[in-house]
Amino acid sequence: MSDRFTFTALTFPTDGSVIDGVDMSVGADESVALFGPNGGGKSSIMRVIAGTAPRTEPLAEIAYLPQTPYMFRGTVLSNLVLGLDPDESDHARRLARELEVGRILGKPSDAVSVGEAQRICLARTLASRAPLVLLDEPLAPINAASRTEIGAIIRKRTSNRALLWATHSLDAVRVLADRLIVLDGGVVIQVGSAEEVLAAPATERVAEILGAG
Amino acid sequence: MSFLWDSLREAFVYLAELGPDLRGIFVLTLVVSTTATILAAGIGIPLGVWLAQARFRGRWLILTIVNVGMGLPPVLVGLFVLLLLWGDGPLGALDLLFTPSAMVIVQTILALPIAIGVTLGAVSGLAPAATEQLRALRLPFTGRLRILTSEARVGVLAAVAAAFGRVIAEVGAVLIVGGNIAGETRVLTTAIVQETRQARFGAAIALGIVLLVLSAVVNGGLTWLQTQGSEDV
Repeated sequence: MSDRFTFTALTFPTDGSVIDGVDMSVGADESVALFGPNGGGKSSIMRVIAGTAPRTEPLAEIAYLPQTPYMFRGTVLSNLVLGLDPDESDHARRLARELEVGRILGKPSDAVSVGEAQRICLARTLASRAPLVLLDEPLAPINAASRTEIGAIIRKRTSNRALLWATHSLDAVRVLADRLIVLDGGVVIQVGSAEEVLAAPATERVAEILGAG
Repeated sequence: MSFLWDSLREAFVYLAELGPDLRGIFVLTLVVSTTATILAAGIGIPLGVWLAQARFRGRWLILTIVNVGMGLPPVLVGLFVLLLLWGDGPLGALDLLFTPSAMVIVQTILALPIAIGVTLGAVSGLAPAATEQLRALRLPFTGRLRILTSEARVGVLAAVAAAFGRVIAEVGAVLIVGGNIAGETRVLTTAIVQETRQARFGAAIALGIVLLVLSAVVNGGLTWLQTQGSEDV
């Protein structure tokens, strides 16, 4: 089982920082959701931890799914196994079948829908053995009818690992979150179990944000 | 008017004869230009990809040097290389002056900033989602290079075409370091200068036609490559 990941004073390294000095931690086998409105700083935190923001390096061994799925030129299969070792590639194929995109692996990468691309990118990310998994809006491009099912697969395939994910959807929180970190304007305004936060927002602003989710 | 027609007629006679001097000039032009283009692209494309991705202190200075390099006066580069390769110069011992190798060196120097700059622009213009996804994958540089050149292939091939355009049209620098020696370092552009100076306009026009056709064929091939697998070009 992986260790607890603790991040302190996270700052987006550009002028006009979206986030400034955010602290947070994710335990092994824990699903922590970053929740907040668009522009609240969720993706910035993800990018800083993943080391994809300018002048940053990854803060741990990480598997990271960015907010917008992107398929590179080639086949769906070549995208699925990109950057994975042979064992992880086999795992990615199994995950693709589980995510119901196993039958499109031979297609050209530009012939798939956004939802299919998201499932392929998700399968690749989950196939990595990294102990910390970062998913930015993993369920947003998935059709509403499949979100609960896909959320359950994500939870199952990240068991024994730390999962930090971003969302602005309360439905996704209910499916996937153990703990909730509510962000607004790059600042943490409430932390607690998903049930606690949903049942008792600490401030009117938290209630307003949750109400919009 | 008859002067123009006479020159054109002479040009076609010259072309029809396809003498050994024309063949030699054509082959040397092709070899020198393609070698310089391959060298410039081989060095410049990876550098352009790297510069598009890298963020470091002083990057603006490198970018400025590349941009200045894209407009380098050829005769100045020719003079610089001449001084390097001159008998008493730092590289004089290599005995490369007035050889095709010296012409390749000077043309590579001229084409390199173009290969870097155009590639850099093409890769920098990729969708943010593509570069974010690629950073997320933490691939080694060779893996990133392969994917980014494939994603930005239209722009990268434009870099190759622009580099080839620079070297195939080059005259001043190759004249300085090559010397325009018949049968040894005479290429199409320097031969055109030579024939024009001697008022053999028919031969100059014929060489110009060969130069145009060569440029058109190479750029046509690159354009064909650009359009493969793309519906938007």
